[in-house]
Amino acid sequence: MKQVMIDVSRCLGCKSCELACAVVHSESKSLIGSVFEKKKPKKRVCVETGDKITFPLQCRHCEDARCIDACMSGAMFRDAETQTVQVNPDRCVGCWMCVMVCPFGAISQQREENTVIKCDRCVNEDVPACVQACPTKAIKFIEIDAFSRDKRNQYLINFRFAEEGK
Amino acid sequence: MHYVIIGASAAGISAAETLVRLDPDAVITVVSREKDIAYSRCLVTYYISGQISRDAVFIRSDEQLRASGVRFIAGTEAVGLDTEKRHITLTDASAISYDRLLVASGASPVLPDIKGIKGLGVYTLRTIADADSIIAEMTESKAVTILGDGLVAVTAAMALNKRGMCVSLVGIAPHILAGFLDSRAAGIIQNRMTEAGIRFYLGKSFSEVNRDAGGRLNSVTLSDGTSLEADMAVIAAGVKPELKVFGETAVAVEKGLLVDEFMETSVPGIYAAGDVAQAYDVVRNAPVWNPLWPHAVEQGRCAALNMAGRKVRYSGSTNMNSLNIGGISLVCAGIANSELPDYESFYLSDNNSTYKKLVFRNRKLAGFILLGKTEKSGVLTSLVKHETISPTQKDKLLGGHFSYTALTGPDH
Ligand SMILES: Cc1cc2nc3c(=O)[nH]c(=O)nc-3n(C[C@H](O)[C@H](O)[C@H](O)COP(=O)(O)OP(=O)(O)OC[C@H]3O[C@@H](n4cnc5c(N)ncnc54)[C@H](O)[C@@H]3O)c2cc1C
Repeated sequence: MKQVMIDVSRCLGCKSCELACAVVHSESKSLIGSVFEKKKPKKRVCVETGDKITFPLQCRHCEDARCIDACMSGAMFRDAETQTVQVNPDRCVGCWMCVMVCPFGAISQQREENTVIKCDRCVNEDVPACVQACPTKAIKFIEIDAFSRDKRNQYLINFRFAEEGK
Repeated sequence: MHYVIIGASAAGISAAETLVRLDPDAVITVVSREKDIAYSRCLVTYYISGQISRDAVFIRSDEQLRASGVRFIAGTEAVGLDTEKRHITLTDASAISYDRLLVASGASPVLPDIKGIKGLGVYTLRTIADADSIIAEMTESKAVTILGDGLVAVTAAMALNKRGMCVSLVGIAPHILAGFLDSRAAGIIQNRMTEAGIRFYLGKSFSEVNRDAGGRLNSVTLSDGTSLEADMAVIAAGVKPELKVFGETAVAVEKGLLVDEFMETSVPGIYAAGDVAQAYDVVRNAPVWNPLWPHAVEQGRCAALNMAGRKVRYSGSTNMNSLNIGGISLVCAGIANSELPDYESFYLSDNNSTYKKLVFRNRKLAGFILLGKTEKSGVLTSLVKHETISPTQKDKLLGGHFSYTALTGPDH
């Protein structure tokens, strides 16, 4: 299975991923077009700042996804085909239980709509938009089984929270 | 292998689905007292308020349940247990034998011993059937009095208020949601509810439920003598674990059924999960009864893994709650509602729209309340589950940096 992996050392914090993410989730799927859309397109990746690092954070599509366990409305589910974690906005009631348990803080509340949004890993695209947009290749889309553990760790921010969301 | 599960709600469904995955050849039987199965109890107030339809309360479709291959016996109660013969008996006196049994029977509302409480117009709110009855009876501009100050009472109050009923909330505690909130956070929510038109009678209880000659409810008398006109009363004064199936059977019980780290009760081969169970709490470092949806799902899965022979330790629960009341979001976890010795509270912001409180105990984040701004609260919940945090992390938290990236990194 392919996963989005981050090489922290390469991230410059340019936020190209954020922009590309918002655009691909807009109606028109173009930057110019999305500017004029009634509903402002929203990004599902967030470039966070830490000690001397910037990190493009999005849903990790955890194997044991706490957000699915916590979802009491049946909105959060694992897609059988892609094994990704997806949210069905029609079922979401805005209880914020998933926000309460996501160890990465990767789920955003849409207060007006009373729903949440998160990375859907661009399942309808060949390559996720953030990956395509990253000018330094800090965000990669790679076959995870092909990597040794060491190599994989290089891509994860596997410091103190390493046990989370393998 | 024959697995039998009592209860077809959060814990029972999660366990059944896990068993199907792990042991496709096994026979799995789920017995449910309720006719309606695989629905979310947490949604019943959303159904009452009209935010969602009755259908949307169900979290699995009939087709999904059928396709699972699990045998569901709905509308039937397990009334007896024979641990020697390893079988349970049902209401119709038939017996079902098991190799491994999961008790996922949840909890039921407590009906306090109050004069006149039983009869027309008085409801509890635990099941979709309860919600159906309340919906059938609720009438705009009529008066409803709710007894209770916990989550169910508060969400029911908002739902009935939205339906145009005149809502009074009567609670014993000095403020609402005292099980997990401090008076400040509760006060902000109470204010919002008051603005919506809900009246509070706190520090009081019902002393009598009054009826007319035909047995119809007309008022309730409170413990201080106040009389409130009432066309309907909802009793949301807490729940207790549903342990009836054990009858005289000896099993270790404290507040709930005690389970070990593998979710097994003191009776070998009998497991428990969800609201009926009392499992390990990572903050209190002891078995604590935390009757919450996410825990029920997780415990159901963990119990199933162990029933199927995989030794998997339960990672532990903690008290945690999220609310969205009248547009105010709130997330809290751990211990954040009381001033205990050895606990230090820090208030990062405190005004009428945001309130952020972090509570530490030695090198541990013991709990937090985030009101207003709740983004990234899951990062904090996750830290609450850690045994200790580093001094750098504590500094970051006190500086209001809650992002995963800020709180991780080589120097932490
Ligand atoms: C109105 C409301 C709002 C809530 N909101 C939240 C929330 O926001 N967040 C949260 O975390 N939690 C919330 N909860 C709590 C949450 O619903 C429970 O924690 C969860 O349902 C527990 O699941 P369970 O499977 O352990 O038990 P239950 O959901 O109680 O299900 C147990 C089932 O077993 C059946 N049963 C019992 N005894 C027998 C027997 N002898 N034979 C056969 N069947 C039997 C019962 O009839 C029931 O159907 C709320 C609850 C209510 C009522």
